[in-house]
Amino acid sequence: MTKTQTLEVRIRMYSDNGQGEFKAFSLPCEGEMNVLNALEYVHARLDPSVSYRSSCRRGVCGGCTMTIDGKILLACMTDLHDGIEIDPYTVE
Amino acid sequence: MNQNETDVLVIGSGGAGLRAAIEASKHASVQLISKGPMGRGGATVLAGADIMADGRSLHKLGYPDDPSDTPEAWARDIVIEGFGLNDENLVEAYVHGAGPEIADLVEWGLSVRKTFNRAVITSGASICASLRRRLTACGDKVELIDRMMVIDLLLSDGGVVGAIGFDIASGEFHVFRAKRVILATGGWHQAYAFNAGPDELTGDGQGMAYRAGAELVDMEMVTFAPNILLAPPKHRGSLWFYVLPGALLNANGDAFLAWEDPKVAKLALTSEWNKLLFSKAAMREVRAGRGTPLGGVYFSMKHLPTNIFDALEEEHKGWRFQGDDFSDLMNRMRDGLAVEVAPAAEYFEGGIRINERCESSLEGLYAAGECTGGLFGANRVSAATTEMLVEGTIAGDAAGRAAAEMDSIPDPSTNVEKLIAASLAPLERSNGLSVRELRTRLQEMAYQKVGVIRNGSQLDEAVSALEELEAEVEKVSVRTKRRRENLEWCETIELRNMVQSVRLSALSALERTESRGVHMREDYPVVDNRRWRKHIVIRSDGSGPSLFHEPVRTEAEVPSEVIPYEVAIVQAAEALLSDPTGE
Repeated sequence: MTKTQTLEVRIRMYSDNGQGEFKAFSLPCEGEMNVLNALEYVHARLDPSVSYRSSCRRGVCGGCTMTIDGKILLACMTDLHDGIEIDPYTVE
Repeated sequence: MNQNETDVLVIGSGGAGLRAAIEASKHASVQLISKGPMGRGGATVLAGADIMADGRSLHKLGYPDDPSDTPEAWARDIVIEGFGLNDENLVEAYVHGAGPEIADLVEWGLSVRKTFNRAVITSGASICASLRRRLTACGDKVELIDRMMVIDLLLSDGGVVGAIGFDIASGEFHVFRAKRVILATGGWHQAYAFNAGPDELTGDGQGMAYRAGAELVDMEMVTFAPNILLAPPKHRGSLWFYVLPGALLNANGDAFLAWEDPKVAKLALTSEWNKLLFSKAAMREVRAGRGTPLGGVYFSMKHLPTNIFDALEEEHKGWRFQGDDFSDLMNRMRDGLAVEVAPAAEYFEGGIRINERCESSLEGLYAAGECTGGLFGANRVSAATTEMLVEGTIAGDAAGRAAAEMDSIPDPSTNVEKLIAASLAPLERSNGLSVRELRTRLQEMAYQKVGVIRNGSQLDEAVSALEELEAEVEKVSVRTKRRRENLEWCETIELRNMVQSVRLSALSALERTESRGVHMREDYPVVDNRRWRKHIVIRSDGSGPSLFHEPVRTEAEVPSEVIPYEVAIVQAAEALLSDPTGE
């Protein structure tokens, strides 16, 4: 991933019952990115309603724990791949 | 609306907040609220981490340090490091409190990896874990509430009697009424386009204290850590190359670090003086047009012999640092790749003004850790971990004892309904400015104009731009209208705190027409002891910031001459290294 390429990420949208629909976003990938980078990009540039928690960004605090491809993982320590499924609101 | 009542309200759950809650709970009931992860928030988990104390205290605790070193000798060094701008009452509390803090943490399970001059080396994660363990033992005397976005302090007759915020998950407002309030909210890292702090450090304590009328001090003093990785995105902001040996090169491939004085070289290579000295050298290259495409300089390890490279790999556990695995990148470094690095905002010497009991200028309000100002003067070299522990203990003790003496919580005179309405206004506004756009503008401007190297014309521009930004914050429209899990809404609250923190910093930096410590003015490259051995204190006069000067309290002989900045650094190096117990 050294050249700019476009990736599609699928993010679960917020709903009060936690069962929001997944929505697809395309984003440019410039160099190695993790899930937190993708969420930041989508929140800042594409859809500000996408919310997530994060803190230390370095895999120490556990603050960005969420469900990624069905597994509970740290967003800041999980590499991005095309078609990844991110559910920022389900943490356990 | 949810109503809470407690004796002591602690805001922030990094090391200072945890330590304060532990201490306050000996005397009073405590609520500890945090917007970040409880007990893992703030900069503490990312600390290196060394916890410092004087040699004699460490020797008494059984560590191999110099028993002839004293708290007084260490205090003398801290004041030299701080270019004489330190509040010496705070320094005294710091050096005397350090040893007992380490003893407590070890008792609570701190893992000490090794020792160094005047320091035990551990990790930020271990410090937090030890404090959390102790906090758990406090039982129900401390109530923990996380994901709480605090908006403002509640006042009564000019004193502080609580705070108001909203729960990020539910979007519901909470009123916290308290006899005493402790701010432990860290720095304003996120106001800078490039910084080495966690996401939640947005100057919330400084902003709230300022709006409540408290004094802030030394706000112009900001430390930048050098050699911070600019790319790839997943590693951006990591301190990894700050801890490794390497060569700094400009865009022409020239090694630009040159130490004319061997003592300055020693400081740069063996202590946290490297932050000031490396950052300044790197930013000079960038400002002279010799920077990299991403606006930094190159960091190369190509010159290292392979056996040294191998030894480093072993020492750093196969190129692991914090949670990151750098092995791919390091293989490319071994083959000769140079990465792009730059100075990043890392520590804030200035902040809420406190006395040696950690009392702010407002009745009922205390502050501890990085959100305070005055201890380290113009340049922090000694440990911030020690600061958060010592001040956390002092603030918790003072607030807990004071609360125990009070019969009831004074009724707030703050108009809570009005505050809530103002907080909701950005959600209700339909055609307003975007918080992200304003935030990006603030971050770029702060890094360029209130950054490592300053000058009057850039600071002038910054001050005007910040005044405008402060007005624009009130016109933000949050496009996401729900109250629950609304990051954009939280960012709007944070933006005001960041803008106000940087504004106070820029105003102070413009006012200080000299260079001192981390405050470097191209247009005033001298340390002016005749005019500037004084603090710049700021508080809100109701309509805006109002500045005044206050001479540094000191018992030491005050030099009165005007010295070129570079000469002052050489003099500091000579004074520090002439002391056999110095670093």
